[in-house]
Amino acid sequence: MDLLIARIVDGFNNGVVYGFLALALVCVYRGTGHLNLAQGEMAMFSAFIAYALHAVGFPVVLAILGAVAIGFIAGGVVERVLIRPLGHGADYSILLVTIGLFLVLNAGAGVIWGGDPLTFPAAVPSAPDDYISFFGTRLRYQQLLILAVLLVVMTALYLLFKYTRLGLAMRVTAGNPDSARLLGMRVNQINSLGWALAAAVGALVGGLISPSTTLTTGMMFNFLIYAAAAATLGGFDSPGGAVLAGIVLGVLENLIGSYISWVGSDLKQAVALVILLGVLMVRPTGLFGTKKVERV
Amino acid sequence: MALPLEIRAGSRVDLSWRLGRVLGIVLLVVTTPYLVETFRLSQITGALILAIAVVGLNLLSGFAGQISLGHAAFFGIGAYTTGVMTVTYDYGVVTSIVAGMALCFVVGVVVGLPALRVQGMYLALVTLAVGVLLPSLIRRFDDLTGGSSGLFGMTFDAPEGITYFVGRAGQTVWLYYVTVVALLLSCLVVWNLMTGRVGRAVITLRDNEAAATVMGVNRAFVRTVVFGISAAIAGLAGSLFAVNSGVLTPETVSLLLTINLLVAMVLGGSGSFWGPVFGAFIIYFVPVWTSDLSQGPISGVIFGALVIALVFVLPGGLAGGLTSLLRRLVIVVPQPPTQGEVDQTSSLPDDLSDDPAGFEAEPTTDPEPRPAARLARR
Amino acid sequence: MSLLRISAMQAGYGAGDVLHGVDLTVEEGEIVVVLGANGAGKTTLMRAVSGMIARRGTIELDGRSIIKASADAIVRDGLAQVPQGRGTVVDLTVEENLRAGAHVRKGKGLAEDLERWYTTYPRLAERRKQKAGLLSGGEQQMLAISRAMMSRPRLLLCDEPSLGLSPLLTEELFASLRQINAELGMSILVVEQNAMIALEIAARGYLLEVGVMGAARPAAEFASDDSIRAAYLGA
Repeated sequence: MDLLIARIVDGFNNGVVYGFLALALVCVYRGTGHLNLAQGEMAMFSAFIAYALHAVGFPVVLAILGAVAIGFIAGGVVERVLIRPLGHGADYSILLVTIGLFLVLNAGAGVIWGGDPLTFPAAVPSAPDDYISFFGTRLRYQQLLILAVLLVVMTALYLLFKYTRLGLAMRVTAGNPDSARLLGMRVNQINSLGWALAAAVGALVGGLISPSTTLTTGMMFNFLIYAAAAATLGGFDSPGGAVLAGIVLGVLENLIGSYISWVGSDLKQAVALVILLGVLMVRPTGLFGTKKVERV
Repeated sequence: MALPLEIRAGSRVDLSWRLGRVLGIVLLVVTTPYLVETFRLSQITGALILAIAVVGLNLLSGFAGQISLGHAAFFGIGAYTTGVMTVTYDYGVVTSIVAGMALCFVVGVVVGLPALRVQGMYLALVTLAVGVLLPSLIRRFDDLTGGSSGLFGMTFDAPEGITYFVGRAGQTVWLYYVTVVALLLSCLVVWNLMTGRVGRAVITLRDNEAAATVMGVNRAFVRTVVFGISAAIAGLAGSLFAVNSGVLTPETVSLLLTINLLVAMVLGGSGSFWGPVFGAFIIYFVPVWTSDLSQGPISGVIFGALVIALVFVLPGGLAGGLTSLLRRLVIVVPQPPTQGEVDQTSSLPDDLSDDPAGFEAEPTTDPEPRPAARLARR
Repeated sequence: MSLLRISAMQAGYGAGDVLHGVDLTVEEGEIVVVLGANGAGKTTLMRAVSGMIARRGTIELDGRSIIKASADAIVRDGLAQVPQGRGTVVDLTVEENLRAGAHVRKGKGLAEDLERWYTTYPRLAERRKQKAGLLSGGEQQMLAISRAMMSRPRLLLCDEPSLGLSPLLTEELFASLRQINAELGMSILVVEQNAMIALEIAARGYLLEVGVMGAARPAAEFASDDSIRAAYLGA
């Protein structure tokens, strides 16, 4: 029984990260209707920036917040410089640019900080005995912090999209850019904002998880795939759905990986993806996404 | 003489221009083995293999407009089918290639099924899932595939008794020709498909699904079969890769390969017939050169920056860029109307009026003989 | 001074101009209709005025030039457009669509305005929580008009409101446009293929023929002669 809970908690912790990064994907999608393949690498790079800030003397929390701020600005700049000039409907070009960005950031972090894993301290005490016991399982402070921050960010995004003028404008822009312009919305700025928000959320994820994953250029790659799966399952336009889907994925994956020996750790990832395939076959817009409704 | 030169379609100059190009390509193909060193020829074969895979991807993503982030999986299925069948079970290479392609076709059709329900980004994710699945399957079933430590010993020996292909160098030349023929066949399949009825259905389906369905295009059939053929061509490339390199690891068929294929396709010019070959050569040789220039991750930065730069500089891909360059030098104008024909018909650019396929990557007045336009003219 | 004054405006998409020198005025509180057959350039006219496509010449809103203004700035200046095909954001609810319409006003007096348009179009009120994509064509047109009015414009542009609607619904819709004009003094510029019904509510009319705008004439005069038929049938 304790083992079961331990495994659920483990999966839950992974799932929190999936959901967190999925939130970043949702932000870009909300702003522009695109999938940013470089989202994970942007988060990774931000984590390295937090590391650099810490190295020059900033306290951990400030270093992370600094990276978030830099990420926010950089995200907006990337949209302005690399995405916007391509225009609407240039799906391929945008996909390619995000791939190029992926390569540049990944290799660039290697150039600047070298290929060896670095350690980044946690924002909360993380000595071996800094945990809360939960049915015999250890809930580490750092993990609780990640969960708390995730819930705050998720709620904030939900409120933004649902109840604010700006959030509504973002949804209109993603759903029908032409209409958005005819309603007086500054579509370009809204797109930039979507990218900026996403990069900031990603930077937050990067800074928070790097103490436990160690800081490497490859730290975000697998997370991105899970996050994309979570965002898809959750429906790309629903922050709560994306987080929930991320957590469900993490838990299911860990349970199936642990209890079905045939699957084992090699096919753990496959499980998540098969779930994704299965759900998409039945509900093409995800579990919680709004169904595209249109009367012709 | 003022540029651009004008050439009448069907005139002697035009015909010899076309013939010249074909001869030029043939000459290039035949002389290459004599002009370059063995290791370089082997690299060229590698690039040609990549080109086959890009031709396959281009059929699906360029012509049919369905983004696939999982084509490395089909490449991998082909490669591992050949690897396992020839090394472990001692089948012939040709048999294994056919089996690999067949398997890829079936898997492609199955993966194409979600494409009937999901579109755009969601389909991209479905294919991404498939692409990420394969390496973990390879690792899981390591008793069959060799897992992370790899699968070794694939070869495709030249038929005995031909002195031309004797020895190590001869073997390289043999694989080179095999690959050239395979690329040619793949291109022919795509060409035939896209210039005929199926091609029109595919393009209409891409540009306006509702209209295509109303016009009686069998959406399910076209989507899944095109997916299958595209996958089979990628599988062919994988099989050749297996025998050319002799080593297979899960990393060779990772997401990075898919990314390379996509980049090659768009750089070459998606939806063009010969763009994929150019793109594949760039993707293959640019990392070789950039890592010559500098070691380590900096070459990755250069490669990534190059990808971004090319998207901005050459939005139509190399095929688009080259055709517009050629167009400044030479223009093929349509035949003047024969007597009695209404003048208006010829005042339209030929391609505009005759080209049902609407190759978007290429400009409308294009010195390349348009297959569709030519067929319609007959 | 006219509320809207267009003079020698040219506009088109990429390759060439669709409109060759358009002159048009709309006075304060007036309904003006631009008639034209398919392909005459009616939608191009609308998109040019609202800044959605490139254009040259003179466009003045209340004496101020808007020829260089971006689409979103033009909305803030008080010009709202009901686009052809209604521009419904299908994933948003009816109410969210309406609230999006008030974007440029930063939310002041939002509740009263919502109430006002729910009263004008009770069917929208019934469906306020539904996804807008589920509405019928007529309901979506009502939504599009109310959404445009939510910005409290000084001039309302309507691009073929009758498109895809039954004759009965079209009547109803034009009646509500007339009502908006009468109660709020709203100036309205409508482009419409359905000449007869549009002329019923308009004070003046223009005829647009393949990118060339005719002179303004009183609506009644239009209705009684053959020039429209000639323009539509190419006779």
